[in-house]
Amino acid sequence: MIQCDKVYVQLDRKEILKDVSLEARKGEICVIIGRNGSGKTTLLRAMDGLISLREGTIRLEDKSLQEYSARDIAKKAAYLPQHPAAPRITVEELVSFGRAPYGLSPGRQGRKDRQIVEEALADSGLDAFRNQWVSSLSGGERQLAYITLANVQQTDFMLMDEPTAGLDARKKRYLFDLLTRKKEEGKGIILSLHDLEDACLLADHLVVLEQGRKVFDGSPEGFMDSTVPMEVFGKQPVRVQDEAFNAFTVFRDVRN
Amino acid sequence: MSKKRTVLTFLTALMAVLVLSLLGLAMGSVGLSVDELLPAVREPGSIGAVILWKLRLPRVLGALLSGMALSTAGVLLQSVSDNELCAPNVIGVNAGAGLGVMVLLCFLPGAFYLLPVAAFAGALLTTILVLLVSETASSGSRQTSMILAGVAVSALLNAGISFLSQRYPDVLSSYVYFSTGNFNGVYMKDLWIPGPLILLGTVGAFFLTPGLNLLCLGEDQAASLGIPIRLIKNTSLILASCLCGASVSYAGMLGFVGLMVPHMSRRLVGTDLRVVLPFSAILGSALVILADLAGRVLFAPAEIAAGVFLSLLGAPFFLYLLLRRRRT
Repeated sequence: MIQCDKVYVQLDRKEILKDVSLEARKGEICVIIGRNGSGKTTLLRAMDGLISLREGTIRLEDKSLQEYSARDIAKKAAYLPQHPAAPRITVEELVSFGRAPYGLSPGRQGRKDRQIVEEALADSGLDAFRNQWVSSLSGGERQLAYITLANVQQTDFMLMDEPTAGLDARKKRYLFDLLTRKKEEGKGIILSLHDLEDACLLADHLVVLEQGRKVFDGSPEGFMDSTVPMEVFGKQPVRVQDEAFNAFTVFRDVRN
Repeated sequence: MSKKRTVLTFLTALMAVLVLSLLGLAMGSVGLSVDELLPAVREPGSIGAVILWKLRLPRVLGALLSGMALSTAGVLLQSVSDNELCAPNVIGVNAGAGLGVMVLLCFLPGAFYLLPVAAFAGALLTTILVLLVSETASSGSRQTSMILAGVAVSALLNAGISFLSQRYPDVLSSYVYFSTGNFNGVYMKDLWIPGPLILLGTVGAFFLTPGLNLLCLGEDQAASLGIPIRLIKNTSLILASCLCGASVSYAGMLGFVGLMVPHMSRRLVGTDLRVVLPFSAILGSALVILADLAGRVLFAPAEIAAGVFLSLLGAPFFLYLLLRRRRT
Protein backbone atom coordinates (compact mmCIF):
# COMPACT_ATOMS: atom_id res chain seq x y z
CA MET A 1 0.00 0.00 0.00
CA ILE A 2 1.11 3.59 -0.67
CA GLN A 3 -0.35 5.87 1.96
CA CYS A 4 -0.22 9.68 1.80
CA ASP A 5 -0.97 11.36 5.09
CA LYS A 6 -1.67 15.11 5.16
CA VAL A 7 0.84 15.83 2.41
CA TYR A 8 1.88 19.42 1.69
CA VAL A 9 4.30 20.18 -1.15
CA GLN A 10 5.74 23.57 -1.96
CA LEU A 11 7.67 24.26 -5.19
CA ASP A 12 9.24 27.63 -6.02
CA ARG A 13 7.48 29.14 -2.99
CA LYS A 14 4.11 28.05 -4.35
CA GLU A 15 1.94 25.59 -2.44
CA ILE A 16 1.16 22.84 -4.95
CA LEU A 17 -0.38 20.17 -2.69
CA LYS A 18 -2.37 20.98 0.42
CA ASP A 19 -3.41 18.44 3.01
CA VAL A 20 -3.69 15.50 0.60
CA SER A 21 -4.32 12.10 2.16
CA LEU A 22 -5.03 8.94 0.21
CA GLU A 23 -4.37 5.21 0.14
CA ALA A 24 -3.53 3.25 -3.00
CA ARG A 25 -3.65 -0.49 -2.51
CA LYS A 26 -2.18 -3.43 -4.33
CA GLY A 27 -4.60 -5.15 -6.67
CA GLU A 28 -6.44 -1.96 -7.58
CA ILE A 29 -6.20 0.82 -10.12
CA CYS A 30 -6.24 4.26 -8.54
CA VAL A 31 -6.83 7.06 -11.01
CA ILE A 32 -6.06 10.69 -10.15
CA ILE A 33 -7.94 13.27 -12.16
CA GLY A 34 -8.10 17.03 -12.05
CA ARG A 35 -7.79 20.07 -14.21
CA ASN A 36 -4.43 21.38 -15.48
CA GLY A 37 -2.33 22.62 -12.57
CA SER A 38 -4.36 20.76 -9.95
CA GLY A 39 -1.27 18.94 -8.62
CA LYS A 40 -1.59 15.47 -10.24
CA THR A 41 2.03 15.32 -11.47
CA THR A 42 3.39 16.67 -8.18
CA LEU A 43 1.43 14.06 -6.22
CA LEU A 44 2.75 11.21 -8.39
CA ARG A 45 6.34 12.51 -8.14
CA ALA A 46 5.97 12.81 -4.37
CA MET A 47 4.63 9.25 -4.18
CA ASP A 48 7.82 8.04 -5.94
CA GLY A 49 10.07 10.01 -3.60
CA LEU A 50 11.21 12.39 -6.35
CA ILE A 51 10.37 15.56 -4.41
CA SER A 52 10.45 16.32 -0.74
CA LEU A 53 7.39 17.17 1.30
CA ARG A 54 6.92 20.34 3.27
CA GLU A 55 4.66 18.51 5.69
CA GLY A 56 3.09 15.10 6.03
CA THR A 57 4.34 11.61 5.29
CA ILE A 58 4.14 9.09 2.48
CA ARG A 59 4.47 5.46 3.45
CA LEU A 60 5.34 2.69 1.02
CA GLU A 61 4.27 -0.65 2.51
CA ASP A 62 5.38 -0.52 6.14
CA LYS A 63 7.97 2.27 6.01
CA SER A 64 8.13 5.98 5.25
CA LEU A 65 9.64 6.77 1.82
CA GLN A 66 12.52 8.56 3.53
CA GLU A 67 13.61 5.28 5.10
CA TYR A 68 14.19 3.69 1.68
CA SER A 69 17.20 4.15 -0.59
CA ALA A 70 16.47 5.39 -4.13
CA ARG A 71 17.25 1.94 -5.47
CA ASP A 72 14.93 0.21 -3.01
CA ILE A 73 12.09 2.53 -4.04
CA ALA A 74 12.90 1.73 -7.69
CA LYS A 75 12.44 -1.96 -6.92
CA LYS A 76 9.02 -1.30 -5.44
CA ALA A 77 7.57 1.48 -7.60
CA ALA A 78 8.07 2.32 -11.29
CA TYR A 79 7.41 5.85 -12.50
CA LEU A 80 6.48 7.04 -15.98
CA PRO A 81 6.83 10.83 -16.45
CA GLN A 82 4.33 12.86 -18.43
CA HIS A 83 6.83 13.93 -21.09
CA PRO A 84 9.46 11.22 -21.47
CA ALA A 85 12.77 12.21 -23.07
CA ALA A 86 13.71 11.20 -26.62
CA PRO A 87 17.36 10.17 -26.29
CA ARG A 88 19.55 8.80 -29.07
CA ILE A 89 19.58 5.25 -27.77
CA THR A 90 17.84 2.19 -29.18
CA VAL A 91 14.43 1.00 -28.00
CA GLU A 92 16.04 -2.18 -26.71
CA GLU A 93 18.57 -0.19 -24.65
CA LEU A 94 15.80 2.00 -23.28
CA VAL A 95 13.64 -0.93 -22.23
CA SER A 96 16.59 -2.74 -20.67
CA PHE A 97 17.20 0.34 -18.46
CA GLY A 98 14.12 -0.88 -16.60
CA ARG A 99 16.32 -3.56 -15.05
CA ALA A 100 18.77 -0.91 -13.74
CA PRO A 101 17.54 -1.11 -10.13
CA TYR A 102 18.62 -4.76 -10.09
CA GLY A 103 22.09 -4.07 -11.58
CA LEU A 104 23.13 -0.84 -13.22
CA SER A 105 24.72 -2.02 -16.43
CA PRO A 106 22.40 -3.38 -19.10
CA GLY A 107 25.38 -5.10 -20.76
CA ARG A 108 26.09 -6.99 -17.58
CA GLN A 109 22.51 -8.09 -16.97
CA GLY A 110 21.91 -11.75 -16.42
CA ARG A 111 19.90 -14.22 -18.42
CA LYS A 112 16.78 -13.61 -16.35
CA ASP A 113 16.95 -9.85 -17.03
CA ARG A 114 17.43 -10.44 -20.76
CA GLN A 115 14.46 -12.79 -20.79
CA ILE A 116 12.22 -10.25 -19.03
CA VAL A 117 13.24 -7.56 -21.55
CA GLU A 118 12.67 -9.90 -24.53
CA GLU A 119 9.22 -10.94 -23.27
CA ALA A 120 8.18 -7.33 -22.68
CA LEU A 121 9.40 -6.26 -26.13
CA ALA A 122 7.43 -9.08 -27.77
CA ASP A 123 4.33 -8.44 -25.63
CA SER A 124 4.19 -4.72 -26.44
CA GLY A 125 4.80 -5.22 -30.16
CA LEU A 126 8.02 -3.20 -29.92
CA ASP A 127 10.10 -6.11 -31.16
CA ALA A 128 10.13 -4.69 -34.67
CA PHE A 129 11.42 -1.34 -33.39
CA ARG A 130 14.10 -2.68 -31.06
CA ASN A 131 17.03 -1.28 -33.04
CA GLN A 132 15.46 2.09 -33.80
CA TRP A 133 16.57 5.25 -32.00
CA VAL A 134 14.04 6.37 -29.40
CA SER A 135 14.48 9.88 -30.80
CA SER A 136 13.13 8.70 -34.17
CA LEU A 137 9.90 7.18 -32.77
CA SER A 138 6.50 8.84 -32.95
CA GLY A 139 5.07 10.24 -29.71
CA GLY A 140 2.82 7.21 -29.19
CA GLU A 141 5.57 4.68 -29.92
CA ARG A 142 7.89 6.47 -27.52
CA GLN A 143 5.22 6.45 -24.84
CA LEU A 144 4.76 2.73 -25.38
CA ALA A 145 8.52 2.17 -25.10
CA TYR A 146 8.54 3.93 -21.71
CA ILE A 147 5.48 1.97 -20.57
CA THR A 148 7.41 -1.20 -21.47
CA LEU A 149 10.41 0.10 -19.49
CA ALA A 150 8.15 0.53 -16.45
CA ASN A 151 6.76 -2.96 -17.06
CA VAL A 152 10.20 -4.65 -17.03
CA GLN A 153 11.01 -2.91 -13.75
CA GLN A 154 8.65 -5.52 -12.22
CA THR A 155 7.58 -3.49 -9.23
CA ASP A 156 4.65 -3.83 -6.84
CA PHE A 157 3.41 -0.37 -7.83
CA MET A 158 3.32 1.50 -11.14
CA LEU A 159 2.96 5.29 -11.07
CA MET A 160 2.07 6.74 -14.46
CA ASP A 161 1.57 10.38 -15.34
CA GLU A 162 -0.86 10.77 -18.25
CA PRO A 163 0.24 7.49 -19.88
CA THR A 164 -2.42 7.69 -22.61
CA ALA A 165 -0.99 10.95 -24.02
CA GLY A 166 -0.26 10.47 -27.71
CA LEU A 167 -1.44 6.85 -27.83
CA ASP A 168 -3.70 5.77 -30.67
CA ALA A 169 -6.75 3.55 -29.94
CA ARG A 170 -4.80 0.31 -30.43
CA LYS A 171 -1.92 1.31 -28.15
CA LYS A 172 -4.38 2.61 -25.56
CA ARG A 173 -6.16 -0.75 -25.63
CA TYR A 174 -2.79 -2.46 -25.06
CA LEU A 175 -2.06 -0.14 -22.13
CA PHE A 176 -5.46 -0.75 -20.51
CA ASP A 177 -5.11 -4.53 -20.98
CA LEU A 178 -1.61 -4.38 -19.49
CA LEU A 179 -2.79 -2.38 -16.48
CA THR A 180 -5.78 -4.69 -15.92
CA ARG A 181 -3.45 -7.70 -16.14
CA LYS A 182 -1.03 -6.13 -13.67
CA LYS A 183 -3.91 -5.41 -11.30
CA GLU A 184 -5.02 -9.04 -11.50
CA GLU A 185 -1.44 -10.08 -10.71
CA GLY A 186 -1.82 -8.08 -7.48
CA LYS A 187 0.11 -4.95 -8.49
CA GLY A 188 -1.01 -1.50 -7.46
CA ILE A 189 -1.52 0.97 -10.32
CA ILE A 190 -1.70 4.72 -9.73
CA LEU A 191 -2.11 6.93 -12.75
CA SER A 192 -3.23 10.38 -13.68
CA LEU A 193 -5.60 10.83 -16.61
CA HIS A 194 -7.31 13.83 -18.14
CA ASP A 195 -10.10 11.91 -19.86
CA LEU A 196 -13.06 11.36 -17.49
CA GLU A 197 -14.55 8.48 -19.55
CA ASP A 198 -11.21 6.61 -19.53
CA ALA A 199 -10.82 7.31 -15.82
CA CYS A 200 -14.27 5.91 -14.93
CA LEU A 201 -13.75 2.92 -17.22
CA LEU A 202 -10.41 1.96 -15.72
CA ALA A 203 -10.52 3.04 -12.07
CA ASP A 204 -11.39 1.00 -9.03
CA HIS A 205 -10.62 4.03 -6.94
CA LEU A 206 -10.88 7.61 -8.13
CA VAL A 207 -9.24 10.67 -6.60
CA VAL A 208 -10.05 14.20 -7.75
CA LEU A 209 -7.65 17.08 -7.11
CA GLU A 210 -8.62 20.72 -7.41
CA GLN A 211 -6.07 23.48 -6.80
CA GLY A 212 -3.85 21.12 -4.84
CA ARG A 213 -6.62 19.80 -2.55
CA LYS A 214 -8.37 16.46 -2.67
CA VAL A 215 -12.05 17.06 -3.36
CA PHE A 216 -13.18 13.49 -4.01
CA ASP A 217 -11.94 10.03 -3.01
CA GLY A 218 -14.12 7.03 -3.84
CA SER A 219 -15.47 4.74 -6.53
CA PRO A 220 -16.20 5.84 -10.12
CA GLU A 221 -19.90 5.21 -9.43
CA GLY A 222 -19.76 7.48 -6.41
CA PHE A 223 -18.00 10.12 -8.52
CA MET A 224 -20.68 9.97 -11.21
CA ASP A 225 -23.45 10.22 -8.62
CA SER A 226 -21.81 13.22 -6.96
CA THR A 227 -21.78 16.88 -7.89
CA VAL A 228 -17.98 16.84 -8.39
CA PRO A 229 -18.02 16.30 -12.19
CA MET A 230 -20.19 19.38 -12.52
CA GLU A 231 -18.41 21.53 -9.93
CA VAL A 232 -14.83 20.75 -10.94
CA PHE A 233 -15.04 19.92 -14.64
CA GLY A 234 -18.35 21.50 -15.66
CA LYS A 235 -19.48 18.15 -17.03
CA GLN A 236 -22.53 15.99 -16.50
CA PRO A 237 -22.31 12.18 -16.65
CA VAL A 238 -24.78 10.59 -19.04
CA ARG A 239 -25.35 6.84 -19.26
CA VAL A 240 -25.73 5.64 -22.84
CA GLN A 241 -25.98 2.36 -24.71
CA ASP A 242 -24.15 1.47 -27.90
CA GLU A 243 -25.59 -0.62 -30.75
CA ALA A 244 -24.56 -3.81 -28.95
CA PHE A 245 -26.53 -2.64 -25.86
CA ASN A 246 -23.33 -2.14 -23.82
CA ALA A 247 -24.01 0.51 -21.23
CA PHE A 248 -21.30 3.10 -20.56
CA THR A 249 -20.95 6.65 -19.34
CA VAL A 250 -20.02 9.73 -21.29
CA PHE A 251 -19.50 13.19 -19.84
CA ARG A 252 -21.37 16.00 -21.50
CA ASP A 253 -19.99 19.51 -21.31
CA VAL A 254 -22.67 21.72 -19.82
CA ARG A 255 -20.68 24.97 -19.64
CA ASN A 256 -21.37 27.69 -22.14
CA MET B 1 27.34 -1.91 -32.98
CA SER B 2 28.79 -5.43 -32.88
CA LYS B 3 31.26 -6.36 -30.17
CA LYS B 4 33.81 -7.44 -32.76
CA ARG B 5 33.69 -4.07 -34.52
CA THR B 6 34.00 -2.21 -31.23
CA VAL B 7 37.07 -4.24 -30.23
CA LEU B 8 38.60 -3.63 -33.65
CA THR B 9 37.98 0.12 -33.39
CA PHE B 10 39.56 0.17 -29.91
CA LEU B 11 42.63 -1.71 -31.15
CA THR B 12 43.00 0.66 -34.11
CA ALA B 13 42.85 3.70 -31.82
CA LEU B 14 45.40 2.15 -29.45
CA MET B 15 47.69 1.44 -32.40
CA ALA B 16 47.29 5.05 -33.53
CA VAL B 17 48.36 6.28 -30.07
CA LEU B 18 51.38 3.97 -30.11
CA VAL B 19 52.49 4.93 -33.63
CA LEU B 20 51.94 8.65 -33.05
CA SER B 21 53.82 8.47 -29.74
CA LEU B 22 56.79 6.82 -31.45
CA LEU B 23 56.69 9.45 -34.19
CA GLY B 24 56.46 12.12 -31.50
CA LEU B 25 59.60 10.72 -29.90
CA ALA B 26 61.47 10.45 -33.17
CA MET B 27 60.41 13.60 -35.02
CA GLY B 28 61.11 17.25 -34.30
CA SER B 29 63.56 19.95 -35.25
CA VAL B 30 66.26 17.28 -34.75
CA GLY B 31 65.16 14.00 -36.31
CA LEU B 32 65.96 10.72 -34.59
CA SER B 33 65.77 7.61 -36.74
CA VAL B 34 64.97 4.23 -35.18
CA ASP B 35 68.70 3.44 -35.41
CA GLU B 36 69.43 6.54 -33.34
CA LEU B 37 66.59 6.06 -30.88
CA LEU B 38 67.83 2.69 -29.61
CA PRO B 39 71.38 3.85 -28.76
CA ALA B 40 69.82 6.90 -27.09
CA VAL B 41 67.90 4.56 -24.85
CA ARG B 42 71.07 2.65 -23.97
CA GLU B 43 73.46 5.62 -23.53
CA PRO B 44 72.08 7.97 -20.91
CA GLY B 45 74.64 10.74 -21.45
CA SER B 46 74.33 11.11 -25.23
CA ILE B 47 72.65 14.07 -26.94
CA GLY B 48 70.06 11.70 -28.34
CA ALA B 49 69.26 10.51 -24.83
CA VAL B 50 68.86 14.07 -23.56
CA ILE B 51 66.53 14.94 -26.43
CA LEU B 52 64.56 11.73 -25.95
CA TRP B 53 64.20 11.62 -22.15
CA LYS B 54 64.30 15.26 -21.16
CA LEU B 55 62.45 16.91 -24.04
CA ARG B 56 60.42 14.55 -26.21
CA LEU B 57 59.14 11.94 -23.76
CA PRO B 58 57.61 14.50 -21.34
CA ARG B 59 56.14 16.30 -24.31
CA VAL B 60 54.51 13.18 -25.79
CA LEU B 61 53.40 12.03 -22.34
CA GLY B 62 51.98 15.48 -21.61
CA ALA B 63 50.02 15.49 -24.89
CA LEU B 64 48.75 11.96 -24.24
CA LEU B 65 47.57 12.87 -20.74
CA SER B 66 46.01 16.18 -21.86
CA GLY B 67 44.07 14.47 -24.63
CA MET B 68 42.85 11.87 -22.17
CA ALA B 69 41.88 14.47 -19.56
CA LEU B 70 40.05 16.90 -21.85
CA SER B 71 38.17 14.18 -23.76
CA THR B 72 37.04 12.50 -20.56
CA ALA B 73 35.98 15.88 -19.15
CA GLY B 74 34.06 16.53 -22.38
CA VAL B 75 32.16 13.24 -22.08
CA LEU B 76 31.33 14.00 -18.43
CA LEU B 77 30.17 17.58 -19.08
CA GLN B 78 28.08 16.65 -22.12
CA SER B 79 26.37 13.83 -20.22
CA VAL B 80 25.69 15.84 -17.08
CA SER B 81 24.36 18.86 -18.98
CA ASP B 82 22.60 16.76 -21.64
CA ASN B 83 24.09 19.21 -24.10
CA GLU B 84 26.23 18.12 -27.04
CA LEU B 85 27.79 21.58 -27.38
CA CYS B 86 29.08 21.54 -23.84
CA ALA B 87 32.86 21.22 -23.59
CA PRO B 88 35.55 22.50 -21.22
CA ASN B 89 36.63 25.39 -23.45
CA VAL B 90 33.11 26.27 -24.65
CA ILE B 91 31.67 26.82 -21.18
CA GLY B 92 34.80 28.48 -19.85
CA VAL B 93 36.15 25.69 -17.63
CA ASN B 94 39.58 25.88 -19.26
CA ALA B 95 39.59 29.67 -18.90
CA GLY B 96 38.69 29.27 -15.19
CA ALA B 97 41.59 26.88 -14.74
CA GLY B 98 43.80 29.30 -16.66
CA LEU B 99 42.87 32.19 -14.42
CA GLY B 100 43.57 30.01 -11.37
CA VAL B 101 47.06 29.33 -12.75
CA MET B 102 47.65 33.02 -13.53
CA VAL B 103 46.54 34.17 -10.09
CA LEU B 104 48.90 31.71 -8.46
CA LEU B 105 51.83 32.63 -10.70
CA CYS B 106 51.28 36.34 -10.08
CA PHE B 107 50.69 36.30 -6.33
CA LEU B 108 52.47 33.13 -5.15
CA PRO B 109 55.17 32.74 -7.77
CA GLY B 110 57.21 30.20 -5.82
CA ALA B 111 54.40 27.72 -5.20
CA PHE B 112 54.66 25.70 -8.44
CA TYR B 113 53.47 22.58 -6.67
CA LEU B 114 50.13 24.30 -6.10
CA LEU B 115 49.53 24.87 -9.83
CA PRO B 116 47.16 21.89 -10.29
CA VAL B 117 45.24 22.89 -7.15
CA ALA B 118 44.82 26.48 -8.37
CA ALA B 119 43.77 25.27 -11.83
CA PHE B 120 41.30 22.81 -10.29
CA ALA B 121 39.79 25.48 -8.05
CA GLY B 122 39.42 27.87 -11.00
CA ALA B 123 37.84 25.16 -13.17
CA LEU B 124 35.42 24.01 -10.45
CA LEU B 125 34.28 27.52 -9.54
CA THR B 126 33.68 28.31 -13.21
CA THR B 127 31.67 25.10 -13.76
CA ILE B 128 29.49 25.84 -10.75
CA LEU B 129 29.01 29.46 -11.81
CA VAL B 130 28.01 28.54 -15.38
CA LEU B 131 25.60 25.85 -14.19
CA LEU B 132 23.99 28.17 -11.64
CA VAL B 133 23.55 30.95 -14.19
CA SER B 134 22.14 28.61 -16.85
CA GLU B 135 19.72 26.95 -14.42
CA THR B 136 18.37 30.22 -13.11
CA ALA B 137 18.18 31.89 -16.54
CA SER B 138 14.52 32.62 -17.06
CA SER B 139 14.19 32.65 -20.83
CA GLY B 140 15.21 30.21 -23.58
CA SER B 141 16.14 26.58 -23.22
CA ARG B 142 18.54 25.52 -20.48
CA GLN B 143 20.90 24.10 -23.11
CA THR B 144 21.19 27.39 -24.96
CA SER B 145 21.49 29.42 -21.78
CA MET B 146 24.38 27.21 -20.65
CA ILE B 147 26.32 27.98 -23.83
CA LEU B 148 25.55 31.70 -23.55
CA ALA B 149 26.50 31.76 -19.88
CA GLY B 150 29.71 29.90 -20.77
CA VAL B 151 30.59 32.38 -23.51
CA ALA B 152 30.05 35.34 -21.16
CA VAL B 153 31.95 33.80 -18.24
CA SER B 154 34.71 32.67 -20.59
CA ALA B 155 35.12 36.20 -22.00
CA LEU B 156 35.32 37.60 -18.49
CA LEU B 157 37.91 35.06 -17.36
CA ASN B 158 40.00 35.53 -20.52
CA ALA B 159 39.97 39.26 -19.88
CA GLY B 160 41.25 38.51 -16.37
CA ILE B 161 44.04 36.34 -17.77
CA SER B 162 45.00 39.03 -20.32
CA PHE B 163 44.99 41.68 -17.63
CA LEU B 164 47.24 39.69 -15.33
CA SER B 165 49.59 38.71 -18.17
CA GLN B 166 50.00 42.41 -19.08
CA ARG B 167 50.20 43.59 -15.48
CA TYR B 168 52.76 40.89 -14.61
CA PRO B 169 54.52 40.32 -17.97
CA ASP B 170 57.29 38.16 -16.46
CA VAL B 171 55.17 35.33 -15.05
CA LEU B 172 54.43 33.64 -18.37
CA SER B 173 57.14 32.95 -20.92
CA SER B 174 54.54 33.21 -23.65
CA TYR B 175 50.96 34.31 -23.11
CA VAL B 176 50.06 33.21 -26.66
CA TYR B 177 51.31 29.68 -26.05
CA PHE B 178 49.47 29.49 -22.72
CA SER B 179 46.17 30.80 -24.09
CA THR B 180 46.13 28.45 -27.09
CA GLY B 181 47.70 25.43 -25.39
CA ASN B 182 51.12 24.03 -26.09
CA PHE B 183 53.59 21.35 -24.94
CA ASN B 184 56.80 23.19 -25.63
CA GLY B 185 58.77 23.34 -22.41
CA VAL B 186 56.82 20.60 -20.60
CA TYR B 187 59.22 18.62 -18.42
CA MET B 188 58.78 15.47 -16.40
CA LYS B 189 58.58 17.47 -13.15
CA ASP B 190 55.51 19.27 -14.53
CA LEU B 191 53.69 15.95 -14.84
CA TRP B 192 54.32 14.41 -11.44
CA ILE B 193 51.10 15.74 -9.91
CA PRO B 194 48.81 16.23 -12.96
CA GLY B 195 49.72 12.82 -14.46
CA PRO B 196 48.41 10.63 -11.60
CA LEU B 197 45.45 13.01 -11.18
CA ILE B 198 44.46 12.52 -14.82
CA LEU B 199 44.88 8.75 -14.69
CA LEU B 200 42.89 8.44 -11.46
CA GLY B 201 40.26 10.90 -12.70
CA THR B 202 39.74 8.96 -15.92
CA VAL B 203 39.42 5.65 -14.09
CA GLY B 204 37.03 7.28 -11.60
CA ALA B 205 34.94 8.72 -14.44
CA PHE B 206 34.59 5.24 -15.93
CA PHE B 207 32.85 4.05 -12.76
CA LEU B 208 30.24 6.79 -13.20
CA THR B 209 29.29 5.74 -16.72
CA PRO B 210 26.51 3.22 -15.88
CA GLY B 211 24.68 5.96 -13.96
CA LEU B 212 25.50 8.63 -16.54
CA ASN B 213 24.00 6.40 -19.24
CA LEU B 214 20.61 6.75 -17.55
CA LEU B 215 20.79 10.55 -17.33
CA CYS B 216 19.76 10.78 -21.00
CA LEU B 217 16.26 9.74 -19.84
CA GLY B 218 15.86 12.95 -17.85
CA GLU B 219 16.37 13.49 -14.13
CA ASP B 220 12.98 12.21 -12.93
CA GLN B 221 13.12 8.99 -14.92
CA ALA B 222 16.75 8.33 -13.98
CA ALA B 223 16.04 9.01 -10.29
CA SER B 224 13.00 6.73 -10.40
CA LEU B 225 15.31 3.95 -11.63
CA GLY B 226 17.30 4.27 -8.41
CA ILE B 227 20.16 6.47 -9.67
CA PRO B 228 21.60 8.91 -7.10
CA ILE B 229 21.38 11.83 -9.53
CA ARG B 230 22.90 14.57 -7.35
CA LEU B 231 25.83 12.39 -6.33
CA ILE B 232 26.60 11.36 -9.91
CA LYS B 233 26.26 14.89 -11.28
CA ASN B 234 28.34 16.51 -8.57
CA THR B 235 31.05 13.85 -8.74
CA SER B 236 31.14 14.22 -12.53
CA LEU B 237 31.55 17.98 -12.29
CA ILE B 238 34.30 17.69 -9.70
CA LEU B 239 36.13 15.08 -11.79
CA ALA B 240 35.74 17.12 -15.01
CA SER B 241 37.13 20.21 -13.25
CA CYS B 242 39.98 18.19 -11.78
CA LEU B 243 40.87 16.75 -15.20
CA CYS B 244 40.73 20.14 -16.95
CA GLY B 245 42.68 21.81 -14.14
CA ALA B 246 45.39 19.14 -14.29
CA SER B 247 45.77 19.57 -18.04
CA VAL B 248 45.74 23.39 -18.03
CA SER B 249 48.33 23.51 -15.25
CA TYR B 250 51.08 22.38 -17.64
CA ALA B 251 49.66 22.59 -21.19
CA GLY B 252 47.69 25.84 -21.10
CA MET B 253 44.17 26.23 -22.42
CA LEU B 254 43.89 23.65 -25.19
CA GLY B 255 40.54 24.04 -26.87
CA PHE B 256 37.97 21.86 -28.60
CA VAL B 257 39.38 18.43 -27.67
CA GLY B 258 36.53 17.91 -25.19
CA LEU B 259 34.02 18.96 -27.81
CA MET B 260 35.21 17.00 -30.86
CA VAL B 261 36.40 13.73 -29.39
CA PRO B 262 33.17 12.61 -27.60
CA HIS B 263 31.25 13.21 -30.85
CA MET B 264 33.76 11.29 -32.96
CA SER B 265 33.68 8.48 -30.40
CA ARG B 266 29.89 8.20 -30.44
CA ARG B 267 30.05 7.95 -34.22
CA LEU B 268 32.63 5.18 -34.02
CA VAL B 269 31.57 3.06 -31.03
CA GLY B 270 27.90 3.89 -30.35
CA THR B 271 26.22 5.72 -27.50
CA ASP B 272 26.93 3.50 -24.46
CA LEU B 273 29.10 5.70 -22.23
CA ARG B 274 30.83 2.66 -20.75
CA VAL B 275 32.41 2.29 -24.19
CA VAL B 276 32.41 5.95 -25.29
CA LEU B 277 34.37 7.24 -22.29
CA PRO B 278 37.43 4.93 -22.47
CA PHE B 279 37.44 5.20 -26.25
CA SER B 280 37.36 9.00 -26.03
CA ALA B 281 40.33 8.92 -23.65
CA ILE B 282 42.32 6.95 -26.23
CA LEU B 283 41.15 8.94 -29.25
CA GLY B 284 41.74 12.25 -27.45
CA SER B 285 45.30 11.21 -26.68
CA ALA B 286 45.91 10.35 -30.33
CA LEU B 287 44.45 13.66 -31.51
CA VAL B 288 46.50 15.84 -29.17
CA ILE B 289 49.74 13.94 -29.85
CA LEU B 290 49.02 14.40 -33.56
CA ALA B 291 48.38 18.14 -33.13
CA ASP B 292 51.61 18.55 -31.18
CA LEU B 293 53.54 16.55 -33.77
CA ALA B 294 52.09 18.60 -36.63
CA GLY B 295 53.07 21.80 -34.81
CA ARG B 296 56.65 20.61 -34.50
CA VAL B 297 57.13 19.14 -37.95
CA LEU B 298 55.07 21.05 -40.52
CA PHE B 299 56.91 24.36 -40.26
CA ALA B 300 60.19 23.18 -38.69
CA PRO B 301 62.38 24.65 -37.36
CA ALA B 302 59.61 27.10 -36.40
CA GLU B 303 57.02 25.66 -34.05
CA ILE B 304 53.24 26.14 -34.01
CA ALA B 305 51.35 25.55 -30.75
CA ALA B 306 49.28 22.33 -30.67
CA GLY B 307 46.26 24.38 -29.63
CA VAL B 308 46.32 26.26 -32.94
CA PHE B 309 45.79 23.05 -34.91
CA LEU B 310 43.08 21.91 -32.52
CA SER B 311 41.26 25.24 -32.92
CA LEU B 312 41.56 24.98 -36.71
CA LEU B 313 39.77 21.65 -36.51
CA GLY B 314 37.50 22.44 -33.58
CA ALA B 315 35.97 25.77 -34.56
CA PRO B 316 34.44 24.49 -37.84
CA PHE B 317 33.32 21.38 -35.96
CA PHE B 318 31.51 23.54 -33.42
CA LEU B 319 29.79 25.43 -36.25
CA TYR B 320 28.80 22.14 -37.87
CA LEU B 321 27.21 20.99 -34.61
CA LEU B 322 25.33 24.28 -34.28
CA LEU B 323 23.96 23.98 -37.82
CA ARG B 324 23.03 20.33 -37.28
CA ARG B 325 21.08 21.25 -34.12
CA ARG B 326 19.24 23.92 -36.04
CA ARG B 327 18.25 21.40 -38.71
CA THR B 328 16.99 18.85 -36.16
